[in-house]
Amino acid sequence: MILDGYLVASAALFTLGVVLFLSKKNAIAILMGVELILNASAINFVAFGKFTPSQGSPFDGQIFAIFIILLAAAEAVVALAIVLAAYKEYKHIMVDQYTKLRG
Amino acid sequence: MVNTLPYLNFIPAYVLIGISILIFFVGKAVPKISRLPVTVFFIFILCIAFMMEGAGSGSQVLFFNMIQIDSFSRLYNQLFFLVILSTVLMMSNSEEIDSDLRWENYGLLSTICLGMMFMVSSKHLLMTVVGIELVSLPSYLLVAMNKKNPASKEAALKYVLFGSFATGIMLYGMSFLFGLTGSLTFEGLWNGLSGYHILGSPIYFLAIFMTLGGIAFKISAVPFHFWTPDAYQAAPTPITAFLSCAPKVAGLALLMRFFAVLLPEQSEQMGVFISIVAMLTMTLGNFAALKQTDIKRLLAYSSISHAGFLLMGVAVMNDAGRQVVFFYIPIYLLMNLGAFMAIIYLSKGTNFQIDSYKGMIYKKPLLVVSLAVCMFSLAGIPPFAGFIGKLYLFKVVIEKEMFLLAIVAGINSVVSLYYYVYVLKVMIIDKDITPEIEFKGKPATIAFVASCAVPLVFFGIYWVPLLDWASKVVLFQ
Amino acid sequence: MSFIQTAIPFVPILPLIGALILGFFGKRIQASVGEFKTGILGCLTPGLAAVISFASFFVLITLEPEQRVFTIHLTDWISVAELDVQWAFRYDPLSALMLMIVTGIGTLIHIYSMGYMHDDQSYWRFFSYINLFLAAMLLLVLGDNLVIMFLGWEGVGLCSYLLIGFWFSDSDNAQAGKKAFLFNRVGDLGFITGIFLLYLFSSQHYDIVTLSFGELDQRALFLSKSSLWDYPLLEIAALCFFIGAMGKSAQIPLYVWLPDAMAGPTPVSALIHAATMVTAGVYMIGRMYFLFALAPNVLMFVSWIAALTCFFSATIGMAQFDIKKVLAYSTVSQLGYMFLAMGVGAFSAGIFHLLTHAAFKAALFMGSGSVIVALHHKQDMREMGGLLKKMPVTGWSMIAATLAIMGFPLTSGFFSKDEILWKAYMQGSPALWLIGFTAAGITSFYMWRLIFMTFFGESRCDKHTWDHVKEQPKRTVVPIAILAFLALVLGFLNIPHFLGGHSGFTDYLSPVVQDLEIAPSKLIETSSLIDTHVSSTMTDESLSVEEDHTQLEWTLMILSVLWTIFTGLIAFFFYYLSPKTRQIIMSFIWAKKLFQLLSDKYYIDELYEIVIITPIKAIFQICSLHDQKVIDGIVNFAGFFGKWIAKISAVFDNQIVDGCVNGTGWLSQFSGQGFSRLQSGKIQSLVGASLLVGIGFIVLLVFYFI
Repeated sequence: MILDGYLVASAALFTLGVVLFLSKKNAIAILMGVELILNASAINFVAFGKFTPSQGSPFDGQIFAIFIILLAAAEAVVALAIVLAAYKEYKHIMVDQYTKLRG
Repeated sequence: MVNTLPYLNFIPAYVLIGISILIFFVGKAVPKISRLPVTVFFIFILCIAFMMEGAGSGSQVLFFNMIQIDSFSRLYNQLFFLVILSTVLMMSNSEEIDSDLRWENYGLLSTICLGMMFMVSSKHLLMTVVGIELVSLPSYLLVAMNKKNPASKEAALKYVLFGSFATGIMLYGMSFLFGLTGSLTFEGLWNGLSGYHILGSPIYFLAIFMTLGGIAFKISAVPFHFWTPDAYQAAPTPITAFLSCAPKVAGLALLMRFFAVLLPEQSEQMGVFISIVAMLTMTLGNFAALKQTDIKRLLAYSSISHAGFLLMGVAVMNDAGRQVVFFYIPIYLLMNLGAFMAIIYLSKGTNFQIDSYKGMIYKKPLLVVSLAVCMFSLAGIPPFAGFIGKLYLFKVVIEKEMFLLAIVAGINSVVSLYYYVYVLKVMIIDKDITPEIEFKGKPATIAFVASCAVPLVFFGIYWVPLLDWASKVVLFQ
Repeated sequence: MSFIQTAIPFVPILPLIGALILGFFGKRIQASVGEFKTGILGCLTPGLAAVISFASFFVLITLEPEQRVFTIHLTDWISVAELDVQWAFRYDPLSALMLMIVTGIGTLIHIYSMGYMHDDQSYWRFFSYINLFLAAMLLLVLGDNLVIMFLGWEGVGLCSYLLIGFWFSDSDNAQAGKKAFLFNRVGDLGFITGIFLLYLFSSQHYDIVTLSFGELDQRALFLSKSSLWDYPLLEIAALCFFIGAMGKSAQIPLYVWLPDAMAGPTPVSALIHAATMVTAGVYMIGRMYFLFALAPNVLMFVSWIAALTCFFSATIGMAQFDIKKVLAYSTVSQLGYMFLAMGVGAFSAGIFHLLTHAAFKAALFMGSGSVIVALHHKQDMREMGGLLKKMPVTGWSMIAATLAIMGFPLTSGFFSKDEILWKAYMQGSPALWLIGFTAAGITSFYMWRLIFMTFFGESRCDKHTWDHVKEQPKRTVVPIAILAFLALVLGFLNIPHFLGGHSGFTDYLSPVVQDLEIAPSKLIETSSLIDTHVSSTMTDESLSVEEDHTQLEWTLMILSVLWTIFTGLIAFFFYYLSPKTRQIIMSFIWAKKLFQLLSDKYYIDELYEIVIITPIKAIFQICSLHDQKVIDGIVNFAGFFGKWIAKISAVFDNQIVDGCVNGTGWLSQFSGQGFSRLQSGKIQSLVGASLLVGIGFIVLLVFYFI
């Protein structure tokens, strides 16, 4: 019963993340959307790790969640670095105006 | 607690590449080391790693069911070392890459290399994620390294956003797979899923599709291919060549690993699914390529369509298919790398418009002839190796009685002929009106392209050695 | 590994290496070390190949006859399903003989070319091509299976095309090259169809099909029981192969390219279009005699085609004035003799004529080339005459070769041609003999006509040219003299039994090629009995028959000798003794008409123009009309259709999608451009598009699998 609650929460987080990703123009806000998506899956992993019987080690889900947090951090670093570089070139970070490459 | 350190004996190449990452990132800060000839050092490391993988034998499962070492992983790893080696050669001939950043670039390349090695030997979702991310993150940065083209920053930003979104989707899908089966290894996963394909519950498809999305992003298959043209166009050309080869191959290998332990009913289902993806991918890539005016963008679409062709071999879901994929990959690498290298040499600064290559045959006949061999081979015209590769792909698909896939692939090969030959037409038949230009490339470039073209002709006539090599690719052996 | 197995693979590889070196670096080599040394380099590899060939031959004949067949396996090649084609060479008495002809004459002609091509800008290119030709020809000869043979077959065709059009800046030459290429393609279609047929039927009954000659030999009897559309399979396959031979060896109706091929440099005519490539068809039939022996109807067809070719091309040869054209038609005619021999089952006689013909025809061509160079590239015999004094070596060599080709007693042509005519009489029919016999007389006539017009009588060229005529340098005339000498003496290899000889040549070939000792007409009646190639009951009978016919054989031989001498004398009379008589006869209207008909080659080219080329052009017209009307119509319709779809989707975009956007909000970012421009460059639209496609996928899959 309690599992459902986690799943609903994570689904809501995921949806919010997708919406944020698709609707914001600022690159930083879009990255925040990505973080939400990643966190949604982390919640899922932890919840499943607690409630479903694991075939492997009992902490599979939790370990995976830790990796996701690490991964989110690494991705943020790389993405923010690129955002900075792009800012130097364009003097703004409105992604929808970055349309040099198309076709 | 299990001591995993002895496991490292079984994977010396992984350790070596891992150490080299450290050296490259730390070494620049040490004044004495930073003056060493880093390119030679990197090539040396790659050669050693190549030999280490060549010396290995047997099949081993290491690190809590995470890594599978077998002939499959070893041969693919060897391919990766070769590709990175040629990328290093291309980078040192390119003007688009800042040579002051060699240490960092090589560090990023070795990180990607390690990621790809994890991908081909992964048998666990966690390892899959780690591998994919180790490849993705440095790729984003490498795309942004083009000092000649400001648009590379834009391309990198789009690439990183798309990539992280794809990763997010993949992780969310994985979490459901984990929830449905309680397992993270591939075998446990498919065994646990064995009941679901009959029920056909949407969550099952949702989970599998989202997970595959991350891999599709790496091999730029439909619908996760949208980043490809932009990133390829603006990235430094050696990096474009690299991205169009190595990560794609790693993604395919991962996909084959992922599907290697399917149950019979599942494999039929997934076969249909992959063949649909393959058809869409090749069709979209080819038709979009028809209208391109930028040669790098054209080659980007061409590489998308080739991903589709390679997926044909994955879709048949058997050993023959896997071997044919491996048979085609060296050919694909040769023709793609050769074509990109020739383009680097012939380009005038940042101008990669096809029209700017008019009448090149009169200026650099040998190079253009070699490029023509690569192009014809990409188009799959006999007697070049690309034809033989495609022939074998068709063979396995027809043996599996996937006729629709074979027909669509056939139509696509014909369509692809048009844009490859168009490029050659511009280079060979059209008259040049622009004044003489200086070619800044080194003569070694021509040798490189020719050494890609010669094997293409050779393997087109006599492909037995390649076939022998490919027949050694067996999973779990 | 014996010497043969080690050395033979180098025979084709050496010229190939020469061709590659000269092809890629020839220009620089010629610029740096000069023409002469480039030529030496070009001659070196064929020379080495010739040394190996001769050495291997002498090793071969020391072995027992039944051990003389070698299969030299190099590596695997094509291995798909039942098909298992390998890179393998076959070295046996037949290919040993061909190797010696190809490399031996090839080397002589290379040396000759050094003089002939002197001062040509593309000296290196010539040697590169002709080396490549040798490599391909040797591949054809040595190939152990049909596929390798076909590879060589195509290779020699390519080189022939390249060399005919060697001086391609003249459009006539380029046209001649194209003509040769196209006519050869018609033949090649036959050849490759034959290969496919054999593969198709073998693969139905056997697990592995290597298409090697040894394997085909074993399976021929079994395959002869299969049939395709109620015709025996082997008859059809043999016919296909013969069509291939028709193209390559210039038989009716595909012979018209060969005379035009004389546009190439003369060494090329001598090597490719007289001595080696054009005899490939004969060689191929000899190589697969077991297959043809089981196809009696095809053999009959071969013999009649051959006889007609032999006769008609000889008559055309009588009325030509271009010295090389005369020799070209003579070649076609002599090839006819070879196929006649093949057609009546006298395979070894055909191969023997191939050998002797290679010698005397190469000598004749090289002699004519020497004359042409001396006269500053004049080829018209009406402008020659009296050259014997100025060019004694060339002249006497050509006279020797002419004696051989007319079949003067004890020369090589005498033995080989008489053997063929005798076999045609015995195993074919008297009619075939009569045609061949008549053609022999005509041969003698036109050859002596050539000699008298060129070397005797008054000079008809202008004074300036005449003063500059001189004998060619040694490297040109010595090869001619060698070949002329061979043309005189080679016949002693195969002195028939009734003249007290041993038929040594036939014995030499017997491990690989056995003659049919019975007439094809009898073969048809007894075809059900043929379980061995030579039916044992027939052998006894034919032996006893042979005893009775010794008298007849002598008669026929003396007849043909007298007949050829007689026609030779006519030529002597008309073209040397009293040209006035000739002019009187030519003034008759019927003689003029006949001459016109012959010199215009029976209007065959024009016939082809009307019957084949015009209809094809008409078809082109129809196709292009079809393109313009029908295809364009479809395209326009598709465009129209597309426009409609676009309109509908625009309505969809505007109404329904926008409705959704307004309703849900989050779609608003990408719906505007979403569907119409997928690759808009805006990252969020792209991600949205992939999401949508992905969702579509899942929905599709859910419905597909439930």
